[in-house]
Amino acid sequence: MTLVKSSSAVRRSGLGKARGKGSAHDGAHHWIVQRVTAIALLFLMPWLAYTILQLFAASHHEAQAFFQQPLHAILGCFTLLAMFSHGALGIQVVIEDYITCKCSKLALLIGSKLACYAAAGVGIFYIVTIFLKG
Amino acid sequence: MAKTPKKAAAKKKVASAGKSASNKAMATSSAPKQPVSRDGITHTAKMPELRERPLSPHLSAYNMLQFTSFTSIMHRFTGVVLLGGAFIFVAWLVLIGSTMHCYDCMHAMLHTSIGKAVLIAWVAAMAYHFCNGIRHLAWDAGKGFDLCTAKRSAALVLFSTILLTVLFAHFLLGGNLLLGGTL
Repeated sequence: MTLVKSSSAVRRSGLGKARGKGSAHDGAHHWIVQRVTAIALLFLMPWLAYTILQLFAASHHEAQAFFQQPLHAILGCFTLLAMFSHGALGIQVVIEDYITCKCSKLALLIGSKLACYAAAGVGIFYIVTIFLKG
Repeated sequence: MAKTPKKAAAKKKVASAGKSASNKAMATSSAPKQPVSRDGITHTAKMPELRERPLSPHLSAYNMLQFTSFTSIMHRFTGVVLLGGAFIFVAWLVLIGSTMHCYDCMHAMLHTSIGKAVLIAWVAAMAYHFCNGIRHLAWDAGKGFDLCTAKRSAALVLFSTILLTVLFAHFLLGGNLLLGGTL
């Protein structure tokens, strides 16, 4: 199959061009962000496990005191960012793979993205709020 | 799909080979002089229709529940579970930032047997996704693809998951799991 150069300088095969299907030309970005957040989470997940242990035993005051330490407040924000961007990309692939109905697929894709970024935002807001109380 | 008669004939030969195999057939027949294809299988310089082509995994013939495919399915499953857990973690943060009464309600709930079991299950999913994620990153770096290594790393992932989960449960239960403590 010969590669043809289209006007938008996008190289794809003649067959691919005729079918009009295939790459949406942003798959590499999805792939790279998924890996970068994965590497970040390699460092952040041990912190999260430690935090769960700390918070599990903590009273309300102790839990607030935990997030009033700058290190834990910062790591908490990083964890939320990495976790929800990684999760948003992951759940996107799961929805694309398993939901066949076009309408519910679109609704779930939009809904999952909104929910992920909203949750990350709310979480970071509360960490900052707790930190500023100290 | 425009096809030359020769390609169509070649495709007829592998009609039972399924979609991906016929795609591969098209890809290899476009470059017949290349002895080794991208998947590392050495092809003899026979006519395209005489070649033994790899068959795609048929649903009826393919063992869906192999150890390696099980780890792959579990990676997805734990990923979805972890996203749910992430939302619960945010709720936890909200409760820490809210009044003492709300926090104490959740604290009491977490300290029931079910609460502890849910936390341990969440961390088990986390440990699995963490360990298998390292495996995936190694694959992304092009390492550990052969079947023997893949099976061994899958076993290592399961072992590490159990180890990390037991370790976490030990600390969660106040360091007395390994000394006969209960939920």
